[in-house]
Amino acid sequence: MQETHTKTKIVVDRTLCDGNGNCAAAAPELFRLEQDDTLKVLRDMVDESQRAKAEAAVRVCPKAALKLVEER
Amino acid sequence: MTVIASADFQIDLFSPEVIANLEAVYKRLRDEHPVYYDRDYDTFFFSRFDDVWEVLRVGDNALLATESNLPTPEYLRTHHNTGAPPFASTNPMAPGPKLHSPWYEQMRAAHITPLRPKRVAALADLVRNLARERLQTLLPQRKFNLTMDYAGVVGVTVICSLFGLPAARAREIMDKVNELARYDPRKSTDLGAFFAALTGDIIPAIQARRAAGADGSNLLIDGLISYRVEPEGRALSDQEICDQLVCAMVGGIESMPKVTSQGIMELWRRPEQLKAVRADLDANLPIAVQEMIRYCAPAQYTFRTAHRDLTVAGVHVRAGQRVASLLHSASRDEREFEDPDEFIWNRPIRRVLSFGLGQHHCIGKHLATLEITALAHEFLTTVTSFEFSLDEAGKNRGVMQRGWINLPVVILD
Repeated sequence: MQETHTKTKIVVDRTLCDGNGNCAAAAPELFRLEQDDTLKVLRDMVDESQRAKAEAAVRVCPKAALKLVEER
Repeated sequence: MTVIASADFQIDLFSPEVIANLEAVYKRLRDEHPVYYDRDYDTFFFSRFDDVWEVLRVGDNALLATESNLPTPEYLRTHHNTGAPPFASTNPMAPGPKLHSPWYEQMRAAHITPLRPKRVAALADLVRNLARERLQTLLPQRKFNLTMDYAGVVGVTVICSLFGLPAARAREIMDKVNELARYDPRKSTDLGAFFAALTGDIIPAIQARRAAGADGSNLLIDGLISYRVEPEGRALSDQEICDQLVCAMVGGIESMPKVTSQGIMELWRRPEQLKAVRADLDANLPIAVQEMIRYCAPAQYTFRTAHRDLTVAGVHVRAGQRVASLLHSASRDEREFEDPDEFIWNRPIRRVLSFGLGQHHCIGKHLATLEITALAHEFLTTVTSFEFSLDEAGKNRGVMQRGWINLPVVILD
């Protein structure tokens, strides 16, 4: 049987992102709000162990600017 | 699971009878008609937290405030769309709330910088000092309106400083905004009234920035002056810039003071909670402020018009029909919050809708939160003992922006 690795990519809609920082509070290992209030994605590909954190970040974004895309 | 209202249930959310009994109506809607279609207004009203959450997250120009996010009932009754209305004009550039992507986002990006979290955090000392100075003036009076005289004056002074307007204009601007927001059953107010009334205050601020070279030292205005509409490279006129800034001005003046004063009053009504918060003000107040925002936020609803057929929160909406998100009802939804009508300073709050959500999510959220926290902190630190004279208090009852506009506090110690 062939092994498949599902990786999840974090996609930020930069036109929507206000830099509210909710994602950085929910998942500080994945997001950081820079000193100039812009969002930095620390890891744009997440594995299974970080998936729940990434989902939490997507959920709390008040601008609905984040989404997760599965990549094989 | 959502249910469409049956023919035997009819209600007019703008009627004085409903407005007089709004909380009970919201509860009935949530329980029995969570998606209520009103034929006269051609509008679907969403009252549950989960549904409002879903509606406001719709993107891709499917649901827009092209007509108005705060339309009057008269407009809704007399204007029914057959199909999607045209997008808002971009030449001249329509008022911010009416715009679609990518224009909405570009206008927002051109003036959001001073309202972002770290920029706002840098204003903490300014707000705290303004609050302290204001209390020094007010405390000798022993009795004053906590909403307007305290939180309102500080809030509008901060707004004037962001706009580069003289602080001497603050009170007059505040009174004007509050007069517009005041409910009067004989007349309706829509957002357009605020735009018309504040133009004369905002345009001089824009002209002053042009005269000063718009070098970026006023982050609220200069970005809009240097913005160019592509591809033609057109600069925005004073009026077009003004139309992007009205919401920041109104929001900063009208909403925050109501939350601050009622929030302090709700704590006072519950002495054991006031005592618990005071036990460690620095640690506890930011938590209590989240509950103040959930419980006291004045905005009742926000409208959108469908620009294409879509299914949202289980309902099929045709292009041209409207959806209304009942924000206050969502904040009192027992499906999201246990014992929602009770004020509990440290209740778990997983999600909030008080600032709206999605494209129009409140641009001043961080500033409002900072101001409420600083104002409550200074008041509770400076005043040991106080009570409210609720017999004399006055509430804006309407259905647009509700809340305590006159909340007399009596200083005891």
